[in-house]
Amino acid sequence: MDSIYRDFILSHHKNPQNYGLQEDFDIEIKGSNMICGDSMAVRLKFAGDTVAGVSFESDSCVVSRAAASLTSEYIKGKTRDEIWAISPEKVSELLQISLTPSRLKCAMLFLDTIRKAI
Amino acid sequence: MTKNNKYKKDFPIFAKRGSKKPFVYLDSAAMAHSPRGVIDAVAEHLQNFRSNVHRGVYALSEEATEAYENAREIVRKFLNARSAQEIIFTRNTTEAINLIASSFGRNFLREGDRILVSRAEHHSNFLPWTMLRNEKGILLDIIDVDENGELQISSIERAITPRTKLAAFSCVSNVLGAINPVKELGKLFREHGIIFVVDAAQAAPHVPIDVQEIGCDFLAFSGYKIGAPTGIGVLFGRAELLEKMPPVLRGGAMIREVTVEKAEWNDLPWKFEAGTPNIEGAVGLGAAVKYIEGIGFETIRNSEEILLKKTLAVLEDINGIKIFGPKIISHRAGVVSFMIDGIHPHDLASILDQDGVCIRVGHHCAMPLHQWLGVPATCRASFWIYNESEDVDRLARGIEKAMHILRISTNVRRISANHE
Repeated sequence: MDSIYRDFILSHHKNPQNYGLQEDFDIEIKGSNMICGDSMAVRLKFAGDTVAGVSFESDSCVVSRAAASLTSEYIKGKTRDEIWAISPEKVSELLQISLTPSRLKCAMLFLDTIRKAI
Repeated sequence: MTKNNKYKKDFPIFAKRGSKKPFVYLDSAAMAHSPRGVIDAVAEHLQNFRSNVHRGVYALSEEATEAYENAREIVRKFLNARSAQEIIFTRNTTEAINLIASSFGRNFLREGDRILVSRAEHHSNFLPWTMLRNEKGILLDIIDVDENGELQISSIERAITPRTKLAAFSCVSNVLGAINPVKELGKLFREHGIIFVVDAAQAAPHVPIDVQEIGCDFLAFSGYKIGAPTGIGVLFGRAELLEKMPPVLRGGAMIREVTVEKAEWNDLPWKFEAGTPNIEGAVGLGAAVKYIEGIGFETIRNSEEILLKKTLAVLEDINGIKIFGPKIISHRAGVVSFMIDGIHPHDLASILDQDGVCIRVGHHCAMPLHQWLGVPATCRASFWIYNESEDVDRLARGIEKAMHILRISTNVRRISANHE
């Protein structure tokens, strides 16, 4: 099995993209995974139906934060429907690893959070 | 038992999984492995004695019934209950405690009565009582543990009121590992005429249990935590109470006579065992109890104390660690929960797993306790008779590796306080 803790993922944990909540936003959503105690806040800015800006902060595991880093970059310029269409497999692909069902929940926290409000 | 643990070879899973990669199992508080004796007893029953119990007059059914009832007698001795009538087979501790709440609680507790529980309880010894609170207007008085995770008798004494009718406490905490003073609690509750329910799920693998010495009214434990198959557990109840309690499940085997108009319930314990029971599970449970008795709790305790001392010593040296539960070894069963600053429990567990080391992370079905501890999740290492000193070394090396991988000088701040 490929280790989850490869440099690619660790670098996204260490230097996540879109980290730090921005002041210019339309909606803010908070999400948590009570089972493992992860929590996350996301701010989205829309231009019409399209994501124009995204920022987040999290207290979470490596997988959750790295996935949020990669997925937040991926949703830029996407419509609400396109975000709903993103599959768990796509998130795994962005992370370049395959995940067990329990760790997939960590990886999906970012998408699960924003889907509550879009 | 520190080197060349002589009991490990009794557990086939270690030979099997260890052949792929070293296998260190530190999650016995969630599920203990089965010794060969249990696996063989279940297989032998299925091969030679499989038949329904309390039904047939043919020899095979009689033999199956004998095996099932023999398991009950083994459990009776294990708990030192007065009579096998007081031993009811359930699926697990959860079902047993729900049975008490559903049958005794719903029928013999009234609005305004009070129930005492500790904040450290597993959800299975918490939610059945909040159910009664929500359904019947019963009040819950929740006792906090002290800074070492231990229950203080004085705080329980202070919480007792004339309306306190039932108290439900674990014998050993599944997160903190604290061994609670159930004998003293039993004495206290008897003096006040309070029904005493003991959750012995974590205690059964580690400490001898004597229901007469504790003086409890009910006690529950699960087979799978002492090496038996899953799906078999035990409720002990005092016969005088069980006699007057109505059954929770109705159907086959729990009746004496049924007409269209009415039904007469079977004798104890079968009144509470509706439907075909988990016969091979009971047989496996009997074999698990026999296995433990063959080793003896003194031996189990001695090996556990050595492992606990070493684990606590090794963990205490780790920078940024917080260890929960009693500091005094004799107050702690083989469970150690901890948090390492800057390392998410899931990440630690995943990195340990890559080297074959199994620990449990999360809230361990005790969220009210974790809220009180102020942490969303903890890491938990737990032991049983097959663990050895080398396992603690592997845990320590795994933690070092995780810290090396994860404790990078992170460039991000934690989530802003106003977004907690």
